[in-house]
Amino acid sequence: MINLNVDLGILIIQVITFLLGMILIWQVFLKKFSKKLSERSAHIKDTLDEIAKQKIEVEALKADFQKQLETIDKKFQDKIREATKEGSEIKNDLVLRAREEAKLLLVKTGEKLEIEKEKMLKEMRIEITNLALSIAEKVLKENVGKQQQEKLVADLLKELEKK
Amino acid sequence: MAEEEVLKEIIFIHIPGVPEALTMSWIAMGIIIVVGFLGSYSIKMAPRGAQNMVEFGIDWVTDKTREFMGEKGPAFLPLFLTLFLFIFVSNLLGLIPGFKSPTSNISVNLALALIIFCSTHYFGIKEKGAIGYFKHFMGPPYWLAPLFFIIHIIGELVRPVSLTLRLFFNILAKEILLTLLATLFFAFMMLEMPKAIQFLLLTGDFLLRPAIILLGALVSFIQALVFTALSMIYIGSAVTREEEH
Repeated sequence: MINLNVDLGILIIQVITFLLGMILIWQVFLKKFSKKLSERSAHIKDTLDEIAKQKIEVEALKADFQKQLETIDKKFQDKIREATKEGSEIKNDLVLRAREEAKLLLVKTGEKLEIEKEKMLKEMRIEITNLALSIAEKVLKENVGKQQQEKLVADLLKELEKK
Repeated sequence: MAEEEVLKEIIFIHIPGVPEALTMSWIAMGIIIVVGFLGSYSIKMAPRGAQNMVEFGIDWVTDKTREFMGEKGPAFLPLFLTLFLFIFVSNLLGLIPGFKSPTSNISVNLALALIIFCSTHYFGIKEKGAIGYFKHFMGPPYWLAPLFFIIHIIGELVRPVSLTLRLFFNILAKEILLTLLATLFFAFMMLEMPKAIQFLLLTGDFLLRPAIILLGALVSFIQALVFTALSMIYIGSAVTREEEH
């Protein structure tokens, strides 16, 4: 048989039980848990905020680094261009100077050769004169005839021509 | 009638002189407080063990208050958490042999419904003021105010009755089903019949019991959720202003 009668005593005690239970639940654990859950939520929120902030900073740093890299790359390219240009100029200069020096050397060598030639000719004349003198000395010593003497002179001249 | 009372005293755990519904109600409340205390014994930032379970329950009820009442919901957490846990544990108690659900007693359910009824109007008046709160009962249209007022008053009075009876009959049906299965088991054992049929009947009864207990656990949860959710909606609608709708 289903009992649908309301027992006022049970009803009142149940209301008191529930209200006391609610207070006890709040005091015994719910208060602590609510506090801990709020702390955890705040901690998670703070951490997420910090991460978001750090992400923005990292993005900014990344952009900055990218910019710096681009600048460095540009500078590097400029330096290489400058160095190449400078190298090329130095090379051209060196080649020019070498050519001028070679030309100068050639002129100097020519002049030296001319001097040497003059010097040799001078020595040769002295040599010939000495030779002629020695021949004349020989001829005189041996009392050669006029004909023979002329022949000797002619031979000597031929010999000189050959030289 | 006297025999029934004696039988109840033998079957159910009770304190002499105290109605069993109240004894069970105190046991349910005791279980909640003890489990909560164990869970809160050493609260850590990263939850473990019982703390995990308690936190899950608190979080779940907090989410429900937010879902049904908006941002004002979490302020009512102590009321709704106690209500949900008390009804759920009370409903489950009836599944343990020797215990009985206090929610299968109409006085216990009515007490819970009256707490919600009083809270609804108390918080409604506190939030909107007496005139602002009762003005909500009048319309619009205002020329139909007397009629609307009567309809709203009837609607408000019916709420605790519907809360009480819904929980009462659902839990009672579960208890009756379980009692019936237990009674049938003994009846099949006592009755004179061919052994094969008796074996079949007893096996059927024996196998059906866990299924009914599982169903009972499900009903226990759903009824606790329905009672709590409706309470949240009642209080939520009482404390929410027109412009917040």
